[in-house]
Amino acid sequence: MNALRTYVTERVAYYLERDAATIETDMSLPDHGLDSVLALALCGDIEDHLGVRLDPTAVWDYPTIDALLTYLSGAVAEAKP
Amino acid sequence: MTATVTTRVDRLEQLLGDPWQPDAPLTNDVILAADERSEMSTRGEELLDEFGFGAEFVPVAYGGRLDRLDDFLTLSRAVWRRDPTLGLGHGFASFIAGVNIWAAGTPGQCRRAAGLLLGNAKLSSVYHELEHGNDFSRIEVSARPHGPDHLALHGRKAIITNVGRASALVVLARTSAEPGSRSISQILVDRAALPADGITDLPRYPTVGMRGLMLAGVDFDGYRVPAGAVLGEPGRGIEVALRSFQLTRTAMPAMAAGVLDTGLRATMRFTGDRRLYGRPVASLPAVQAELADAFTDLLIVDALAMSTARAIHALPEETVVAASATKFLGSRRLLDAMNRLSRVLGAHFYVRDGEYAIFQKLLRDLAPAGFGHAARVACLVTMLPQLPILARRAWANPPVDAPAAIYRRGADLPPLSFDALAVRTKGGDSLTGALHAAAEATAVADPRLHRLATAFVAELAALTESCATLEPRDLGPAAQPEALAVASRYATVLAASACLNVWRHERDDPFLGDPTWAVAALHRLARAGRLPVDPGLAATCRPALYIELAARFAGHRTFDLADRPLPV
Amino acid sequence: MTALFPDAAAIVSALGSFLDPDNTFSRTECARLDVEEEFPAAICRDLDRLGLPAQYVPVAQGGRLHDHAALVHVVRRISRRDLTVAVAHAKTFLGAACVWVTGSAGQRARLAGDVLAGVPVAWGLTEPDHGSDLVATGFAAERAPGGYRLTGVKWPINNATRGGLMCVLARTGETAERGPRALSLFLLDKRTLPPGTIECLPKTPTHGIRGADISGLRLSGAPAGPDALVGEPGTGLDTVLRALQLTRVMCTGLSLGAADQALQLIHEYVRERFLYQRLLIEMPHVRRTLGECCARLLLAEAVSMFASRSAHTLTGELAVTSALVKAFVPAVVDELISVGAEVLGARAFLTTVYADGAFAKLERDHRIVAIFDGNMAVNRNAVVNHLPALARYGDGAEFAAAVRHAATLDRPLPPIGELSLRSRTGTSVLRTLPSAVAELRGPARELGDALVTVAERLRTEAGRVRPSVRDVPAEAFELVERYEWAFAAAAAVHVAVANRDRRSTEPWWCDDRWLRGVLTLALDRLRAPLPAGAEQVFDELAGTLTIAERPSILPAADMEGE
Ligand SMILES: Cc1cc2nc3c(=O)[nH]c(=O)nc-3n(C[C@H](O)[C@H](O)[C@H](O)COP(=O)(O)OP(=O)(O)OC[C@H]3O[C@@H](n4cnc5c(N)ncnc54)[C@H](O)[C@@H]3O)c2cc1C
Ligand SMILES: Cc1cc2nc3c(=O)[nH]c(=O)nc-3n(C[C@H](O)[C@H](O)[C@H](O)COP(=O)(O)OP(=O)(O)OC[C@H]3O[C@@H](n4cnc5c(N)ncnc54)[C@H](O)[C@@H]3O)c2cc1C
Repeated sequence: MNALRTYVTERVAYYLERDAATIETDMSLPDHGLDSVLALALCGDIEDHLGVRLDPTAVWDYPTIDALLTYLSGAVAEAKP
Repeated sequence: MTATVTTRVDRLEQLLGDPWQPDAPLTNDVILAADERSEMSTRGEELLDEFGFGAEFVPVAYGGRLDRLDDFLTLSRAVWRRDPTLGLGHGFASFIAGVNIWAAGTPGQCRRAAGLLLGNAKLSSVYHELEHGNDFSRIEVSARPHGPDHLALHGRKAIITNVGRASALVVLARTSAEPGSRSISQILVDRAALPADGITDLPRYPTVGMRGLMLAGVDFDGYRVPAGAVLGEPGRGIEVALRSFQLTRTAMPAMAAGVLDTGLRATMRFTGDRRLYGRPVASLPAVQAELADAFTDLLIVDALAMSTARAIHALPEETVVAASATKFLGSRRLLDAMNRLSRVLGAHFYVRDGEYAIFQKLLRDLAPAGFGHAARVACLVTMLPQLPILARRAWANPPVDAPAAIYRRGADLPPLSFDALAVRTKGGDSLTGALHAAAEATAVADPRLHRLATAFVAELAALTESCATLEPRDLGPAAQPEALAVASRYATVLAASACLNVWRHERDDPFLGDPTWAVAALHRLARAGRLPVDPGLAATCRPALYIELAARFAGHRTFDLADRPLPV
Repeated sequence: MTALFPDAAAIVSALGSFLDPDNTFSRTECARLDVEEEFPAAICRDLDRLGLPAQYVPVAQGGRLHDHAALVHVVRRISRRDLTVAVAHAKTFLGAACVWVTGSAGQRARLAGDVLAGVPVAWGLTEPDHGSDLVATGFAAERAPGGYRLTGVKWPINNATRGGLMCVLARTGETAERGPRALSLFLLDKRTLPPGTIECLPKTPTHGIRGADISGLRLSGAPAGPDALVGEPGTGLDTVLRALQLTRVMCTGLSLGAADQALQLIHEYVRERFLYQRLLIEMPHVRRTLGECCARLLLAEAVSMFASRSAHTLTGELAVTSALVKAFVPAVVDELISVGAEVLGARAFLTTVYADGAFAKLERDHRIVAIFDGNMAVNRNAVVNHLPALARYGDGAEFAAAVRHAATLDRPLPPIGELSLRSRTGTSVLRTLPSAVAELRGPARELGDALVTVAERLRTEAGRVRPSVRDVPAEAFELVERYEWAFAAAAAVHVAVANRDRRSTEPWWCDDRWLRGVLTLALDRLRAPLPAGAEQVFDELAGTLTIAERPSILPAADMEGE
C-alpha cells in the first residue's frame, strides 16, 4: 500500500508540476489544480500501473489521495478473485 | 519613417483618435455601423478630407505631398488599421489612377488630376471587365476616333471602385482592333468636365467585405472624350501599367498590414480580458505562440513591402519582379495570420457586436488584398519569365549588395522617378544580392541566424538551377505548378533577404538589431518554403517576441517595423 | 452499389431542386434569408415534415437513429445545400444527446415525443464568461422544495429562443467548489416555466449563419422538478463529455457538406471561365489546385465515415477519435474553402455575380464549425492528454477486427456501447496500420509504407510529451496537428483495403485513385519525402471529376438526388 501511495503521490506531483514532497495526501486535488481532464489521465496511469480497470472518473469521486487509495484498495481486491 | 512624415502621421492619428475609445472622432462603433448599412463612413471621409488626404496622392512637383512611397504607405496604413473600406474607397483607388497619370500623363493632365485630388475629389481606375478578369490584354471596351479631335468609348466596365462618384477616370481601352498589347491605351476621362451623353452608371455590387465601398460599373455608349485624353503614346497602356503597378502591387500588402496590426490588437485585448482555467487566456503558451507568430508575420510583410517600396526609389530598374513577389507573398501571409487569430478569438470573432466586433469586419475586408489588383498566381506569372534572366545575370554571378537606405527606416532616398522604372527586368537583383552580405554578417552575430541565412543562400543557388530547366510553356498562364513553385520560392527568398537586411542595417535598434526577431522571421519563411531547418527553433524565439508584442500593446505602439506611438 | 443511407437520399430528393428559386429550400431563398438575417423557418418546417427529426432519435425511442454514420451523412446532405439550415435544424441532436446517453426511460420517451413532433432542443453549456472551461460553469441550480431553482445566463446558444427545450449544465454544488462533481445537467421545458423566471436574450448578430437563432437564456429562480435532472446529481460533466463524443463526430457532417458545396462551385467556375484563351480548368495550376481540393474532401470524408462507424465498434476509443476528427475535419475544409476562394477571386466576394454569392456565404458559415461544440484548441488539448496512451501500446492485433468492421462501409453495425471518458487503448487505427498497409500493392503501397514510417516517428514523439492543461507547450499542439493528419490518412488506408475489392470499377476507387490522392496530400503535409511525380495524382483526381462528378468514397447513389 505504501508503494502505491508513493506511486500515486508521484503521479499527482507530475501533473501538478510540483515536488512530490509538497503533496499532502489529504488535500483536495481539484482545488490544487488537478483539472478534471488531467484527473482522467491520472486514472489511466494508475490503471496501467496496477493492471486493473477503474471507473475513469474515480479521481473525480475520490478527490484526495487518501480517498483514492481507499477506493483503489477495494478495486484491487475485487479484481483478484 | 522620415521626420516629415512623422509629423504628418502623428497629426492624422490625432485627428482620427483611438478607435477603441468611445469619445474618439472615429470609433470602431461608427466604422461598424457604416459597414452594417453598406455605406462609406461619412465621418471617416470628412476627417480624411479635413486632413487633406488627397494631397498624399499628388507628387510634390504638382503641389501635393507625395514624396516617398514608404511614407505614403505609413500614412495609408494608419487608415487601413481602422477601416480598409476607407483605405480603398477614400484613397487607394485614387492612388492607382494617379500613378498612371504621373507615369505617363502630360504636365497638363498631371496638373488637372492634381487639382482634383488636392480639392478632395476622387479618381477611379477603370480597368476591369467581368468577362476578362485578370486578362487585361483581352479587354473589349474600345476608344475609336470620332471625328478629328475626339475618341468615342464603347463597352462596359464592371466592379470598379468609386466609378460613379469620381471626378476623373483612368480607363483602360482598346485603341486599335489589332490583337496584342500595342492596341491598348489608358485614357484620362475628365468626367467632371465632359457632357454626360453616352455614359451610364450601373448599379452597385454588394459584397461580403468592404461592404460600404462604392463598387459599381459603367456603360459607355459612344461617350466622347478629346483625342488628347490618351495617357502617353497610344498603344502603350499595358506598358504604363507594368511600370505603375510596381507601386500599387507593393502598396497593397503594405497598407493591408494595418489590418493585421488591429487584428493583433483586438486579440491581445481579448486574451488579456478573457479568463479560462482560472487565469487569463493570454497565459496559455499555445495562445502566446499564435500571437507571437502573427506578430512575426506582420514584421515579415512589412520588411518585404517597405524594402521593395524604398527600392522603387533607389533601384527602380530592379523592382519589377520584387513588386509582384511582394503582392504574392505579403497578401497570403496577412490572410493566414488573420485566420489563425480568428480561432483564438473563437466565439468572440464570430459575433458581430461587442468589444471585438471590429475583427470580423477586418477579416472580411482583407480578402481583396489577396485576389484584387492581380490574382496571386497572376503575380507569379508576371515573375516567371523574368526569373531565368535574373538567374543567369544576377544569381549565378558575384552578388551585388543593395544600398542600406532600402532597409533602414527614414534613411535618405533618391526621388521617385516613374521614367526609371523598368517594364521588365534588366537582370540586376541587388535585393537578393544583399542576402549574401547579410548572411556573412550573421556568422559572427548569431549561430541560429547564420544557419538560417545559409539555408536561404543555398535555396537561391538551387533556384538558379531550377530556372535553367524552365521550359517556354512554363513562362505563361499555362505554367506547370512546379514552375510556379519556382516563382513562389523566389518570393520567399526575397522576403528572407528583406528581414535579414533590416536586422543588418538596424543594428542600433534594441529590437530590430537583435537577432531574435530575424531568427523567428527566417524560420517561419524557411518552414513555409520547406527548407531543411530545425523545427524546434520557433520555440526559442516566441517568448521574446511575445514579450515585445505585449510591451507594445501596453505602451500603445504599432506592431510593425515603425514601432510608432498611437493616440491614447 | 445501392445507397448506404437511403433515408438521407429520400429526404433530399423530396426537397426538390436547390437551384429552382420556386422551391422553399432553394439557393436564392437561402441567400435572401442570409441578407435579411431571417431564420429559415419554412425550410425547417419542410424538413420536419419530411421526417428529419426522426434521424436524431434512437430506434429504441421510436426514431430512426441506429447508425452514427447515417446521422453524419444526413447532416452532410443538408449542409451541402445550406449550412445555416443544417446548424439550425441538427442542433436538436446536440440538445438531445445527453438524454440519449444517460436520461431515464421516462425522459427519453418524453424527449423523443417532442423531437419527433418537431420541437427544437437547445444545448446550453456556454456562458458569457465561460466557454471552453466547463468546470467553471456559474449557472446555479439551488436545491428547493420539490427540486431545484435555476438562476443564471447561458449565451451564446443556438436556438435558445426558438427551442422548446434546453439541456443545461448547472452548478449544483457549493459555489466555491471547483471540482467536476459540482455540476449537473437539467432538461428544461421552457414552455412550462413560470413567467418572470425566464427571459430569452435578443438575437446576437453573427459573422456567418446570419439567419440562425443565436441568442441566450436568462433564468431567475426557474423551478426544475426532480424529473428535469438528467442522470445523477454531480454527473453533469461526465455526461456532457460523453455526449460531446457523439456530437463532435456529427459536426464533421457540417464540414463535409460545406466541402461538397465549395467543390461544386469551384468546379463549375473553372470549367466555364475563359481567360488567356483557355478555360481555367485547362491551366495546369488550376487543375492541380482542383485535384488537391478533391483530395482534401476525400480525406475528410474517409476519416469522418470511419470515425462515425467506429463509434459503434471501437466505442472505448471515441474520446480520442472524436477529438481528432473535430479538430481535423473543419480545419481541412476551411483550407479547401480558402484555396477555392482564391481561385474564384472576385466571385467569392461579390454576392450577386456568381451563384447567388453562395461561396462567400459558405465561407462565413463554415467558420463556426471549428469554434462551437469544442474548439480546435480544446480538442487538441484532449488529444495531448491522450498522448502517453497513444505512445504506449503494442500492435493492437486484438482490435484489428473492430477496425476492419468500422472500415467496411456497408457492414451493419452493432449498437453503440458504453462511452468512456478516456481511451485506454489509444487509437487502434494507427496501431493496426502496418497490417493494413501490407494489403496494398503498387504505388499505393509505397505511399502506405511512407505513412507507417511517419506514424512510427510520431509515436516516439508522443511519448515525450507531458500531459497538462495549463502549460501545454505550443509544440505539443503542433504535434497533435500532425497526428491528426496521420490518423486521417491511416483511417483512409483502412477504408480503402476493406472496400476496394467490391468498388474497384468505380471511378474514384479504380487504381486506388482516391487513396493515392489522400495519402499524397497527407504525406506532403507531414513533410515526408514523396516518390517522384507523386503530385500528379491530383491532376488525375481533377480529371476524374470531369467524368464522375462529386468526389466521394460513398456509392454514387448516396450523393445523388439533388
Ligand atoms: C472590392 C473590389 C474593388 C475593385 N476595384 C476595382 C477598381 O477600382 N478598378 C478595377 O479595374 N477593378 C477593380 N476590381 C476588380 C478586380 O481588379 C478584379 O476582381 C480582379 O482583377 C480579379 O479578377 P477576377 O476575380 O475576375 O479573377 P479572374 O481573372 O477570373 O481569375 C480567376 C482565376 O484565374 C487564374 N488566373 C488569373 N490570372 C492568371 C494568370 N495570369 N496566370 C494564371 N492564372 C491566372 C487564377 O487562378 C485566378 O484565381 C475590384 C474588385 C473588388 C472585389
Ligand atoms: C454561433 C455560435 C453558436 C453557438 N452555439 C452554442 C450552443 O448552442 N450551446 C453552447 O453551449 N455553446 C454555443 N456556442 C459557444 C461555443 O460552443 C463556444 O464559443 C466554444 O465552446 C468555445 O468557447 P469560446 O469561443 O468562448 O472560447 P474560450 O473558451 O473563451 O477560449 C478562448 C480561446 O482560448 C484558447 N483556448 C481555450 N482552451 C484552450 C486550451 N485548453 N489550450 C489552449 N488554448 C485554449 C482558444 O484559442 C480559444 O479560442 C456557440 C457559439 C457561437 C459563436
